[in-house]
Amino acid sequence: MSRAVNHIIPSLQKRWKASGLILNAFISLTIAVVIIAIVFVFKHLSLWWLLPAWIACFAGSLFLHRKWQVSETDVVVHLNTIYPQLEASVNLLLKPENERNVLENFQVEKLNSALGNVDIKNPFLKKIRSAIVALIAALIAFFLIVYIKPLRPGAKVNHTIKNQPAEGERSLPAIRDVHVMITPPSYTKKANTNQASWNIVAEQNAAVEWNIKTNLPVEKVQLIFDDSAVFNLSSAVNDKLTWKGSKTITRPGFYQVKLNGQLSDLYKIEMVKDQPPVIVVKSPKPSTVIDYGEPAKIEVNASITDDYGIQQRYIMATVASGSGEAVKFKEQKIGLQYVSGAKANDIKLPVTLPSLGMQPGDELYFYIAATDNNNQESRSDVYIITLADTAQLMSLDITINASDVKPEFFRSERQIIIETEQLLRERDTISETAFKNRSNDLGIDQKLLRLRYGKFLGEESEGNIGEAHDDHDEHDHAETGQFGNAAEILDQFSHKHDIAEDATFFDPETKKQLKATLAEMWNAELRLRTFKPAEALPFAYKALRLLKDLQQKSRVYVGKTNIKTPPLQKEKRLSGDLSGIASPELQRNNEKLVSEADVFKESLGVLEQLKTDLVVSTGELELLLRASAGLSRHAASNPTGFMHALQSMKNITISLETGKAISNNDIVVVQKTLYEIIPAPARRPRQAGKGADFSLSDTYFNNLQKQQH
Amino acid sequence: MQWKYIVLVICLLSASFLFWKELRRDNKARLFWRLLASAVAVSSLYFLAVPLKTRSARTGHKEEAVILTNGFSKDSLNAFLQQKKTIPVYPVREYLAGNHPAGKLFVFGDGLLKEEWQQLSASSVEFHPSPVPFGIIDAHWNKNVTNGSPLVIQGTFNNNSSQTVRIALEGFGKVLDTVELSPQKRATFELKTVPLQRGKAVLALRFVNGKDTVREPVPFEVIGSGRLRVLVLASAPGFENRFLTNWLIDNGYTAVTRTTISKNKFQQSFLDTNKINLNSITSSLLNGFDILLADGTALENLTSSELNAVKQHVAENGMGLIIQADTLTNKDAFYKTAFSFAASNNHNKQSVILRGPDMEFLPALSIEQPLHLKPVANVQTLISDKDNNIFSAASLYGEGKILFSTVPGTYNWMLSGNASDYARYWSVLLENAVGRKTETISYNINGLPLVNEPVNIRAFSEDQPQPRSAGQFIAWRQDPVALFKWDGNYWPLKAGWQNVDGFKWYAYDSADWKNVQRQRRMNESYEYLSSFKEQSITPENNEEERDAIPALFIWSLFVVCCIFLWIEGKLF
Repeated sequence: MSRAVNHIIPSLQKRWKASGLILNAFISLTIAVVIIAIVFVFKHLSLWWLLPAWIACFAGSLFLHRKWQVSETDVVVHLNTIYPQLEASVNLLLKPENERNVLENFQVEKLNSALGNVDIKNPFLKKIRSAIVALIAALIAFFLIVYIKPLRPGAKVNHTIKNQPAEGERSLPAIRDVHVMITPPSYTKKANTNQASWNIVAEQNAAVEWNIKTNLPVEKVQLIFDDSAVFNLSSAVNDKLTWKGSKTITRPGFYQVKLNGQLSDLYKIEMVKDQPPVIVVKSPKPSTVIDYGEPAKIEVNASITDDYGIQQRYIMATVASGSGEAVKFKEQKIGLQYVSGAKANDIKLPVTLPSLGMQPGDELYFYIAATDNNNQESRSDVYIITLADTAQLMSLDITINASDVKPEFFRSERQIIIETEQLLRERDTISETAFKNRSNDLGIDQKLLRLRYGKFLGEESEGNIGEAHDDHDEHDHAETGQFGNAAEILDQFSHKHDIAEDATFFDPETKKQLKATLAEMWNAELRLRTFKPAEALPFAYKALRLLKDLQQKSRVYVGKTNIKTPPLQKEKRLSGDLSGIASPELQRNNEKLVSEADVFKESLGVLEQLKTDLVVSTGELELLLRASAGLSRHAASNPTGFMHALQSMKNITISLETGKAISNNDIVVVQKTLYEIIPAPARRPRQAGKGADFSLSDTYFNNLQKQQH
Repeated sequence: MQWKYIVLVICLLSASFLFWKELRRDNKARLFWRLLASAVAVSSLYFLAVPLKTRSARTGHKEEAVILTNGFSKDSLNAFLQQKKTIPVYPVREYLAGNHPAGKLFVFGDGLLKEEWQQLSASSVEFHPSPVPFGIIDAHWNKNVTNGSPLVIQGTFNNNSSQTVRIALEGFGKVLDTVELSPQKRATFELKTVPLQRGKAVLALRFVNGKDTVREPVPFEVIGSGRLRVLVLASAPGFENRFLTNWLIDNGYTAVTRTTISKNKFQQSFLDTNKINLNSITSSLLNGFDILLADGTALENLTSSELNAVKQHVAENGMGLIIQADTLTNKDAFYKTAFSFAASNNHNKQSVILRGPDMEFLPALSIEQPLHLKPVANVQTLISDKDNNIFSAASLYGEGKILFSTVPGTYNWMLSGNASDYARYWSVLLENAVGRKTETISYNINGLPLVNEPVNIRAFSEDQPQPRSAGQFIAWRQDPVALFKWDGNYWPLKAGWQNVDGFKWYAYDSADWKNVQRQRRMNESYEYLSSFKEQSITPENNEEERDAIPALFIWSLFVVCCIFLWIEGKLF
């Protein structure tokens, strides 16, 4: 009995120690799972890493979390504190029996019965339970992270290594594996890609390196590009098993592998072309005229984008000054600040025209240019800014008369401008009344001029535009002899003046410009009449410029020509003799050039026939081969669209040549592609046939004719 | 009938021979019996060859029977048999094989073809047709499509389901056209596509019937446009003729042009043909052309003998004459009599939208004061505008056709890139002007040729068509009245394209166009029965109402006679 009791403490100690270790194991596993999950988010690694992590955590926990080190004293202390019915005497059990005194033995006896009644609980049990709950939670979180990871935004999916060949891609059986390394050109700043599949998507000028391993030593491995260029691979270590070769991709197409005379399927090469920078100019407009009085300043607003990065950008400005033969050009390059290598860039640059040395009358031509990382340059359209030349407008390019005759009754626009400027200069020296009077006089002159030009537009009124007529009484209303003639009555009461369409001297475009001129004159007159000649000047200048343009339009340049006509033969003149003149003849034969579309059309019919009948003539086979060559040309420029059809077409022709069965699927694939590229035929007339009838209907018809006569 | 007389003559000859031998015989005992036995033996031989029939004892009494044909409905048959429990029921093949007296027949199912009805002996018929099946019950299409013309499939669909049915025209791995048909309706449909291939092809009409997808084959052939020879007479050089002749030669036709450039001076062009003398228009010159295209002035400038040659050629040789109307002063010319013209009141340049006989519009054309043709009798409108002003019309003249066109400047279509519309316009004009070419031999087939069934091929030919084709012998039968008509039966042994002496046709599988086959039987049944009701069948002229005496009885009679003659000769 006492022995059994004596064993209680060591057995409890062992059990509790084991429980402590289990608890540590659970806690360390939870921590390991959490750590691995966190690492997994940033770096993809194998789940087997969980095991060493757990072991490390467990070892760490053994040091840090030492509750598992349960000694017999710990057990005794625990029992003594937790269970009062043991009367704090459990330590007696540790004493060897022979060392106990009588009282102690009594107490042990008592303890024995007490221990039998006490249900001793494992102090670690609760903690283990919560540790398990924590572990389950951690595991759930872990699996969520590992398997639902791709749904999270910003997660990096590793694209670089595709170890599985793409679906539907067949390799030659002799090839054990293939590795294709695609190295994009450095300016793209893209990483190398390594793939185990044949179909290639590469950047322009990317270097592609093939590493092919064969099952058995072979003599020669070749790559055939676009059905024409043959490229030999070299054996890397002379074991005839591993083959290597590299090529720069400069155009899209397709290729196939030739190994011991055996050809593989066709694989496509898609090329991502490097696009030149795209420049979009938002302002100014393609052609801008800056008139007198407007600020001589433009704002260049543009955006530049490129697929890999912009290297350089600038504005090329050319100022053209002078006129006629004395035109001078001055080129300037305005560099722009930029962030080298940026993919998109906006330009906002105010340009003051005088800073470019521009004077009135000069023109500024400019374009924006940008180069990308690949030194591809692109330019925007040329934009033209014209500074209106007021001086040019004032010059008279007609021959100068000896006497300076000025028309008395009205002044020209040019004259009005000169006098307005004169008035402005004299403003300080004359009285205000005189200033106002002269301004008003100029306004009247402006009005007269406007009316004069208005006549061209059919305007009759000497008043202002839109002013009502008050001469209704002039009409004789009494003479309405015709009742009910609406047109007649309408004629009497309505006015048919100011109809621009009646003045048929000018075409609509001229009329439009003339109207615009009149509007400017109106504005100038308004300012002059309200004694603001300075404000009137821009309008007057604009009116003058428009008038000048109108004048220029009516001028036509005719170059001088120099023709020598043969001398007339007087004896032949008007004789009507055509005997010496031969009839012109033309003979042309239709060159029967068979177009690609015709080949496709014919082969579509042959393919349809192949669906049921497996026999083709040599001519038809030749036709299919020509169609195959045509498809191959299409596939070289657009591998994605035609690769599949070309492969099927090759399968068909090879099957026909070798006498194998043709897959219906191949036929349908080719037909579908051909049907898409054949242009729709136009209608053609056809002579209908009629059956032979021993001329029975002719006889019938002739007899009918005879009866009628 | 002939067989009967041949047998009779042989029998009479052999009887007289036998009688003569009997009479010359030395032993005259039982001569009468021997003569009798010989007569009976010979006559029984005759009746073995020509079956002896007795007047039926049941004449007047109507035998009733139920005949089951394909597609009969079990429910309606059961309902019928509830009323008449004792009536015998035969499938149609069994009934035809057996020898049944004429009686009242109750025919259930889709009915029979005309020939089968004729084999059936019946005094009266009650037809219990099955309901019209779901699906395409009728379909027709142009089996020979000229390159560039559309394939048009028209048919009738009986949609007795509660769902909308979508019919798709499929081929070359693509859906070429679709049409939707509303539920609970029998409706006609049309599908259209311009085929791109050359030669034969089989498209499919696909629709869904419950869980099954039904695919009906649509075989057709795209044929080349052949060759047309066009002679163009122009009074002045112009773009119109230049563009037209270029278009003709580019499409493989022959064109010869004579353009007046001065008095008696012509510019001549020979496109895709050898040089010929064009200085005067003669009958031999016109022989080489299918169509003469001329403007009014050019025709009026012809001499009277030249014009006569043209007239004769149009009337007798079927040459087409296309006239581009301009100033037509000569009102009595033969080509003008059928037409009358009206100039538009609107003198301004206006844009006219023309349409062809297919009622499809052409792009707008700018015409200054258009000239219209008046709609008169015996003139066929070809090109009109949307206000029904006629711009081109054709009239028959003898064997040929005269066609007037008042549309100037059609080359503007070519210039504005509407080459296909230009082709459409001129195709209409040329096709309607050109006469039909007599073919040495032409074939056709009526109805739905099925595999393993006789297909009646009809031929038009002055000589007998090839009797042997694809390993089969076709016995061509000449029509006794129209000697150029031939017909013969051909048994296609496998479904698909067949070739009989260059005539390509398609033999359908028996599972193809099931409903069309059923509907065809129904239609022929209705047709036969409607004519059947009109005939009154009297028992006298109905030979079938007699029973034949069993051949075994006659045979034994013959044997008994022979045994008597033999034994009598041996024993006595």
